[in-house]
Order: sequence, then structure tokens, then C-alpha cells
Amino acid sequence: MSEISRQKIDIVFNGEAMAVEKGITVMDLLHILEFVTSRFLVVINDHVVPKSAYGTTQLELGDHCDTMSPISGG
Amino acid sequence: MQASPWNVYGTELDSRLFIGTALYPSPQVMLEALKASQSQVITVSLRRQTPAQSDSGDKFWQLIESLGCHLLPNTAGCYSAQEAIKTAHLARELFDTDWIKLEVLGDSYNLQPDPFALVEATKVLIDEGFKVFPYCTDDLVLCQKLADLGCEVLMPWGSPIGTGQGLINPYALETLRKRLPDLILIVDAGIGKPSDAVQAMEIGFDGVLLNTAVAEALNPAKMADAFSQAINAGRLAYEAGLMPKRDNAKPSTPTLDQPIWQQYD
Repeated sequence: MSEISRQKIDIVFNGEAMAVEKGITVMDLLHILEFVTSRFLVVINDHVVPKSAYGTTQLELGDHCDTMSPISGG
Repeated sequence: MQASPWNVYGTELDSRLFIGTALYPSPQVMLEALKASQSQVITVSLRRQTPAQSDSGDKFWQLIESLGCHLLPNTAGCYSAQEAIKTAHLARELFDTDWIKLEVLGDSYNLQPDPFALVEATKVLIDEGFKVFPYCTDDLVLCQKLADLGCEVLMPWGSPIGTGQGLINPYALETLRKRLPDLILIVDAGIGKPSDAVQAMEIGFDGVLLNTAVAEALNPAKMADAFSQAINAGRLAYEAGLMPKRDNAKPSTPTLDQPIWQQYD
């Protein structure tokens, strides 16, 4: 995991409140949540995070972070 | 015999059936039905998915990917232009396609498209380079406006989504065909049985998009095959040219040189 402090910040993950370590990156969060899927998007505050930036994008206090996946549709 | 191939936003297709991936009793049944349909375009959607759900989501994606079909993501469930535009942006990133089945609903009872928000969202998305497949009503003026914005494909409803009522206003659909002869028209929603699809194809629609009629059949794979054959038959009939209707009967057997006793009848 990247260098993070022990201080917690509040974010909203997939619509639910969550406290995470300050300085946590998207990659850290996906690892902690054991998010295993081959096709998904990470969206922070309505902006898609490029996969290449998962390791460098840090979550900030109050961020709304969503993971979007394919589902069936008509 | 196979009906002629067609071209949708630069993509040549043989099948004129677009099929949805929702409501099947199991992923395996869905896979069998999609294969039996011989469709080359399947509709998908996207949602927030928690880590606990990600495994099933990934299995769905692997099944879809194994088919090698063109994907048509939708903006289902959006009730404003802004929601639909945002969903379209995410769909483009997630599915790596600029095709979007644009749904902007205006009423939760019959899931009728909101024509005003649909036009608003279509304009924005076409300006951004999307290939828009708008799910719309059969209103001629709305369809003309969508065409003026740059839609090469329109998808008017046959009847409300999931009702299986077939084409409740054939006159409106025939009028669209007559007034918009160069546009690709696909009936989207309300198809309940293969004869509904034949009817749409015989009046000159270019394709049919359906989901529930196959997914909720007792045997979805067999029904998908039935729709595939029906849509091909309807298109072949349209290409062959239907005879005009007449009010008076006309004998099909030649009357010249009849046996002499019949001439004295």
C-alpha cells in the first residue's frame, strides 16, 4: 500500500458512507475491497479515473467514488 | 434465402434482430437464446456494482464477450437529459463503443420516452461524436427532429416496454416509413410474438429490437430462433414486394379456354 497516514477521512463509496485512511489511492481501495473483475470503471465525483491513474489518484474528504460494471439490459 | 445485409452507422450486418440480455432465467439460458437468435447486436447496460456483486458481473461480461457481437449500451432508467448524457459517457468508456441506445423516460407508468429531453440529449451526444440510437415514440415530427439532428437510426416503440402488445399504431409506423424513406427504422419495445416482428418488417422497417418476448418465453432459445426466422421472412417479403390489397375478388385460375360446359353455366 502507498504511504498513508492513520488519519481517517469520510468518503461515499457506491452510495454508502465509508471511512478510509487519508492518502489512500484508488488502487489501494480496490485492493482492500478485493474488487476482482475484468471490466469496470472507477468514477470519482462523476469523472472517470483512467486505469493508468489508479495508483496515483488519492481519495479526498467527501469524494463520491463509484465502481461501474456491465449488467444485462434490454 | 437470407434477406439482404444492411449497414448501421458504417457497420454491415446480416441479422436484422437486435436482442436484449435482461430477464433470462439464467446466464446459460441467456447464452443459448442469444446464440439461437443469430443476432449480431446485443443490448447491455451498466450499474454501480459493489465488490460482493463483482464476481457475477464479471461472469456476465465474460459470457457477453464470448459472443463477439456488437454491443449497444443503453441509458435505461434515466429520466432527464443530463442523467442520460452522463450515463452515455460512462457507457462509452466501459464498453469502448460510441453506439448508444438513448432512453430518456418521461412517465413511469408506460415508460414512454420524454420527447423533449430526448431531443436535448441527442443533440449533445451527436455533437460529442456518439452514434445515437434513440428510443422514441412513433410521433412523426419528433422523428423528423431527431433525423435533422443527425440520427441515422430511429427506434420508435411498437408499444410500451415489456407489454408484448405488438404494433398498437401501425398507421404511425407506416407513416414514418413513408416520410423518412432513407432512415434506418428499428421497432424497439412492445414486440410480443414473431408475427408482430413480421408485421414491422413487412411495412419496411429495417430491424427489430426485442428482449422480453424471448427472455420470458417458456423456451427462450426456441423463441429466439422463431424471431430470427420471422424477421428474415418479413424482410424477404418486403424486398420481394407485397401485392396490393383489392376490394373485389379476382380469380387466380385463368378463365380462358375453359371446358365448353363451364362456358354455358
